[in-house]
Amino acid sequence: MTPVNRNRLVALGALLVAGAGLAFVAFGNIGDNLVYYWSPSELLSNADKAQSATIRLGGVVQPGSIQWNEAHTTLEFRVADDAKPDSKSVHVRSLETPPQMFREKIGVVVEGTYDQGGVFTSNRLMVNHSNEYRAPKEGESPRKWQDTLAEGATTATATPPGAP
Amino acid sequence: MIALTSLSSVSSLMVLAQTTVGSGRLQGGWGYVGACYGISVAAFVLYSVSLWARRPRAASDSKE
Amino acid sequence: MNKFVKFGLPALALGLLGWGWWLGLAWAPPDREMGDVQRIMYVHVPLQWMAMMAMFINFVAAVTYLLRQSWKTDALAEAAAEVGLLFGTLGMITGSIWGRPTWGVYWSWDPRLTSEAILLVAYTGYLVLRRFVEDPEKRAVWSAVVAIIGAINLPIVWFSVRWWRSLHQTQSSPKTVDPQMVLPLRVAAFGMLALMILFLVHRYRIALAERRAEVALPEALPTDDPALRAAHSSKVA
Repeated sequence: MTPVNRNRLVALGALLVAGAGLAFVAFGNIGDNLVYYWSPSELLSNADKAQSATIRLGGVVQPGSIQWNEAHTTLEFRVADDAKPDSKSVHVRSLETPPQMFREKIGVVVEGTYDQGGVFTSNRLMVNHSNEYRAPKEGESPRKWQDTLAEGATTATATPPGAP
Repeated sequence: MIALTSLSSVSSLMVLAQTTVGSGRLQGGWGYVGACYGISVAAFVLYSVSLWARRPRAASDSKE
Repeated sequence: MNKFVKFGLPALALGLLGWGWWLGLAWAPPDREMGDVQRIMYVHVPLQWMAMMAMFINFVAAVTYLLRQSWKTDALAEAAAEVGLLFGTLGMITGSIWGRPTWGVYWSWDPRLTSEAILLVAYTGYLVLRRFVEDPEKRAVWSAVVAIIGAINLPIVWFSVRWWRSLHQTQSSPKTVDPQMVLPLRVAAFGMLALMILFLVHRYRIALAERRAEVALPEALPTDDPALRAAHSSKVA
């Protein structure tokens, strides 16, 4: 066999291996075994499996569920499957100040443990951003959110304790 | 009415006191921006220097 | 052509990149939610695009080499892998810095970040392999095989955010990005493209000169390289 033909066979072989590998990754359902995070409904239906191990829970911060205590830096909120008010959700307790992006209805991934009482104790809170990038709306100035917040100009404020 | 306005001012004070937890707005952060652009530019300069240092010598050089 | 590479391409790269970054840093509005931190997009995204493009060039050059042997395609493959690794590494660093204020963490083993890390390791391995194989022909064939198999990482990285749940968001499109942000991104991307081609051309010339020197002196061992010999003798002295 000439070197040229050998090289062409090598190319064919390598391409076949690459194609097979890619097909395996794309269609081989390895995603089922390597789940980056569980959704609240998955966690609730597999509560026994979830306990006593560090897992990730991902979902949306349920509107109206944020309770932030600055004095003790305790943050409690519910992570829901989606932003609908009646979707399944899990109570999360976190002991750190969340990233500034944290708000109601934003996607979050929390890392921690789920205990018998149905509370997820998070030691790592991550916020995931959507793929949308938008200019501020008329009259908004992102560099001065503190001021606009004080004027009550936005709806995405923290829920004050005792608010309905 | 008076109660309502006082309530809203109380709640806005609370929001201020809570810094910005729950606001969903990122403020500042120019340091991160500067780091990204600075690191990239520095790496480009360094890589350019490395390309220059590795530049092919004239043919007479390689046949010495 | 030579003149264009020497003067036109650097000017184009610097001009477009400078213009695009000026647009991104000063002209474009901040993001509604992310504020000014969003401006990292104009460096992070072009870096990742160009990394993927360079690595794709590496794949094409590797296949072409195996189909029709030529030192040119082998040199191009080597150049593209190195430039791709540079851009990819910078893309990962800038992405990590961007992650800190937005996600709250520099790093998490999510599918996008993990697959990107594997990608970078694969191309590092490719370049290391090239260093360790002394016979130019064997090196070219073996590394071409590694390049072809390593290239499956490219679609995996690209689709990772759609196939699996991840912390990283899915790809944006002009529909999800305001026009004032799309323009700086496009300009910066074309500037980054010019810079990538510039690096590629120069790195390709280095690789081709090395290949020709190797092939011209079949007996030559690495220590016979004049530069290395000089370094060696100075070490002895």
